[in-house]
Amino acid sequence: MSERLEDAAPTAIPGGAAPSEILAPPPSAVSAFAPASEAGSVVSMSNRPKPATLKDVARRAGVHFTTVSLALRGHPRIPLTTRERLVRLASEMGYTRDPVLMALTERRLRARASGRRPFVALLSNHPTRESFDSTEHMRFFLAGAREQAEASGYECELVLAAGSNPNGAALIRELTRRDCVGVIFAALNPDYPLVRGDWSAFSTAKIDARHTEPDVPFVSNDQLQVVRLACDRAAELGYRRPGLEIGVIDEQGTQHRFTSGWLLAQRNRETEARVPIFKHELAEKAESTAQRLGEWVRTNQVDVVLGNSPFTLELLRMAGLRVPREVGFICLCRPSAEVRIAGVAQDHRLVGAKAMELVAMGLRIGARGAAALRSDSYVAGRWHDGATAPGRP
Amino acid sequence: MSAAKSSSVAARSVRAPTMKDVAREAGVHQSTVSLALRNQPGIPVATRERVRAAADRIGYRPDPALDAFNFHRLAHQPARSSRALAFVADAKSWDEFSRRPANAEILRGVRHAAAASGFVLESFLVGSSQLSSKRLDQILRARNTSCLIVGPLALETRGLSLDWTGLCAVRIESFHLQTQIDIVAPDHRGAARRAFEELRRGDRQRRVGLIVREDEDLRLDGAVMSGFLTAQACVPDLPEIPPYLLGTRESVAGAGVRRWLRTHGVNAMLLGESRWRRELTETAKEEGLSLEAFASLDLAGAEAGETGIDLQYFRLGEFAVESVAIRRQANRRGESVSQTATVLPFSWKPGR
Repeated sequence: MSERLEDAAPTAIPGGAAPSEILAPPPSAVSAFAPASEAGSVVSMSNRPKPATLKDVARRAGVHFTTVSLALRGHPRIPLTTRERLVRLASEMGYTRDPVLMALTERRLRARASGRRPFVALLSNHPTRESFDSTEHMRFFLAGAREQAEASGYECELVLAAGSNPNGAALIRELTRRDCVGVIFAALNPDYPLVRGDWSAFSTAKIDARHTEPDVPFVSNDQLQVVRLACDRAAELGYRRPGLEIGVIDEQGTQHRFTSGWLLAQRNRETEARVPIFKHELAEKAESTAQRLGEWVRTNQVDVVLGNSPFTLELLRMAGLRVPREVGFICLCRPSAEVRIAGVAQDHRLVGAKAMELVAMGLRIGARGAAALRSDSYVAGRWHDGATAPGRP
Repeated sequence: MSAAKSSSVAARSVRAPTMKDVAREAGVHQSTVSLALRNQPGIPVATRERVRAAADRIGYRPDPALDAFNFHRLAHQPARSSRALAFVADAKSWDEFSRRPANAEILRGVRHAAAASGFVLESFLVGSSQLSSKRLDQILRARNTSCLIVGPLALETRGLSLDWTGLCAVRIESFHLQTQIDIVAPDHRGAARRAFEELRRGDRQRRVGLIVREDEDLRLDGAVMSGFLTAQACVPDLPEIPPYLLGTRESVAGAGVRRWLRTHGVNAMLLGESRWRRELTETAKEEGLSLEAFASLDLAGAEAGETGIDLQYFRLGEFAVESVAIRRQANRRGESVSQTATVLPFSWKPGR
């Protein structure tokens, strides 16, 4: 069974004339400017009202359409009386210059003339290209954004904006000068001063660092799903006492998505049977964290530790625990090079592509800056077996 | 003179290749190029590949400014060519579908955005007494419909046997479907956290409980429950109140709810659906308890004047259409390699 709900109907958009306003004028207004035969062709419109165009105005006035175009822009080459006559006629016929259309036409002509595509900046605050390239997830963010940009017909360029630009305003001016239409804030350091400024001229999205300005469409890995997936696999591998170890800063930066995933995964256990979450602050010394971690593992009889970084392996070693014999380890953000480590690999490439898609969506519907709708997108990770969690017999 | 000549040569060399250039290169008509690059099944695979190779060779890429231009024109004019967008739901009838206010709002948003994008909307009901999804697949193919929105499906509809490879698709909620099609949904997790905090804002001693239908929360992949559990976990030393998951045939006046209310001394309540409020107040009274405050989580759609969350279902419908449109523009078809879910903001209504 199928049912057509509704035909696409013409919709008035801000800046354009509403369909009801562009019906043909009464015949008396027509004959003053053009022979009746020609006026007839203008008046006889289809049932659907169609907005008047430059050419309609020109035909009615008996001039070339470029004359109308120049006159409506107040060009001095057109005699004043003609200009006034054409402006009056255009307004009678309901022709309005559409700012959106004008901007698009102009931008397109400029893009063609310079042979360049409109570009979207992937903004990073890595100090150098080498340090950017040596950071795996950054490299993948860029690759994913580039692929998606290619498919949508944009250029995506990496812009390293640490140090050289003292403030956001200078950076924004520079991007504007280079015809930048969109910006992806790629995992910026939270204390990054450059993001402050007026970004309303760009279509924007950001990757990670959700609590930083500006408040725009957001994309990240799905930590909630990652923790649930890790818990499911740990159970399949025979582990009975999984424990979650997490940095307070990661927990806050993700609006507690690690905790959410953990609580969902553990909801069928009695409260007493759950291992409390191990939290540590950035400021704490590694020796102290390692010591507390060791105590936590022993007191709670944890048989596998779920941690966000491979560094947890080092902490476990410092605590005198042997992996995997005494305790297993599952990494929640497994670097692709660390094949020995069991855990969830995150799809950074798709995160980059998604950010680009949101920027393109903003450009398509013309929503920029504050007009863009806030949204949070999360990309799932995938499990990889590894020697650090071989399973319990 | 020679300077002028060389500059005109330079100008020609920077001109971006057009679809016509690709057509000449591949020896086909321009409209074939257009269809082939959009991966239309009407064009033989070999031709599609040949055209794509030709486009790559001469460096043709679709122009986003031009696309925006066309989008803009379509916003003014009725669509002449049919760019069909299919909307799929699994209710017994459209009346039944729209009886849930959330669904009606979603569909209103879908219609609105579809009209603005020049889509012709066609809607389909699948299910035991309706179309089989196999039949739907045939229909979509026959009509050359490649844009699809899967509406919020019930838990019983486990999957749709559609060939996703040629489709630009998103699903609204329906986390339980066995597919990797991208999801758009309200931020249920954030909404549950916010409502919990709002109820405790009035009184820190409040013992806030949550009642949600079990099938509803499963359909949302536990999002409501996880928000509620997380909100509790964020308050130090708060004894946990487990969420109450209501069975399909269970009433909020039933023995299970009564026992739960008594055991945990619940005196404030997050409700999956606001229509339970009156009955629950009565139930609590019979148990000698008083429920001081309620907040609706808007899972079925809003009631006027109710305190609680507004999940903004209209915007959700619009966003789904925009997601499909952008996917179509970038020719992104089929399932994702990794599942992606996008959640949209909600608002809090103080209400009565």
